[in-house]
Amino acid sequence: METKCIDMRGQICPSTLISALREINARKDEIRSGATVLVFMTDNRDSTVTIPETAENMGYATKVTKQDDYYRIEICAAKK
Amino acid sequence: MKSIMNRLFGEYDSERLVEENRSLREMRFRQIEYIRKKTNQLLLLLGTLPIRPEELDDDSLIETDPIGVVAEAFVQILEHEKSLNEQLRAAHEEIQAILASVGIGIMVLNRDMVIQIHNQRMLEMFELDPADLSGKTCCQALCDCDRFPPDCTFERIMETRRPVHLSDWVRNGKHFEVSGVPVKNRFGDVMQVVLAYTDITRRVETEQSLRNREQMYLDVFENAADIVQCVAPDGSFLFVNRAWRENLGYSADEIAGLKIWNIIAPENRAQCMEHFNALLKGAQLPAMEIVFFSKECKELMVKGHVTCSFANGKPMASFGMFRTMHAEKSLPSGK
Repeated sequence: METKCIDMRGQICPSTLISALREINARKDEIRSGATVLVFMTDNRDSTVTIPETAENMGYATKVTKQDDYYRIEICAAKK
Repeated sequence: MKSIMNRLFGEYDSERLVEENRSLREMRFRQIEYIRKKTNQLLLLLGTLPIRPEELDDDSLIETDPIGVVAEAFVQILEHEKSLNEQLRAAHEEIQAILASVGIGIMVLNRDMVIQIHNQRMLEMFELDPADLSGKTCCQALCDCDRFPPDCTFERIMETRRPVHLSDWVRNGKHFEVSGVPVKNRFGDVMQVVLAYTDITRRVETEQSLRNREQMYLDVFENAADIVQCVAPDGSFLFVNRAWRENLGYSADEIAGLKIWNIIAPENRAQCMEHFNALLKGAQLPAMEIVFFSKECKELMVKGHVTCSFANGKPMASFGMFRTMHAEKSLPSGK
């Protein structure tokens, strides 16, 4: 399983959401098959709500963890 | 600039090009406005803020294609919703099958007490037609009233927001056990109430019949001429009859503090305890002669049988029935 990290620090929502959706769309088959996990690094707090909420509505599993000076949003395949 | 253009293209062409340029700029402006407007509509649907020009300039907007990005996300959202709908449909059918198969009546009420769903058993149990329940409140359908009846399960659930259990609710002479559970939204508000009814009429009647029979046996033992006692494994008395109380001189209140060894003559006590322990271990004893010791310290010689009842292999109580030897001896010979 490959982990692909995208650093979005410095961007604010909704730009972060559009960037995240573009990455998810581009790798949707890899993520759904479990081959890839996308990790977004953001320092924008709103994004920790909008990105996971939208990704979950799209059928992905998400996990948000607080790091020292940023948030880590993990997008992976939902358990069946 | 204009003079350069006039020299290059002539005055007429120059003006036409300027006009075309202005028209193209206006068209691009309208297109950008349209993309921003539609992008913002889609972003609002996703629950986020509109995009600001300083976040994404016009050139980046066209390059990023936010409408395409969000539209692709919506395709995945719709596919996921479709899959969820299929799962919900399967779950709904599963719930319907469960509702139809259980032997209890179930109905779901909204927060205004109006019946939303009910199973077939509900209709059978209360002898109702579907029309009797459709659009009606639980009060109207089951209690024949428009307001909460006393001890209303629904009302208690709405007040306490907790599950409520009613062990015996009576309707038209039939007895029901009622269990109610609130269904809450994410804010903790009760949105629906699920009520489950179990017909316990037969059980209540059986229990009443057993109580009547028990009372009848107690009356028989209470009024018997023989001394009757029922003793717990710890030696305390569970029951003694009138003949027992009269012969041994204890009142009903005094018996609560007595143990079996308190009424046995000291010289008989060791042997009787041996018999008592053997009984508790399952031994069957022949008729025995015992000397009881009354409250006034008078000895009373009795003869009788003692048995022991067990539940799940554990002794529950010993039951003894005795006749005074004095009375037996005083009987005329030949009888």
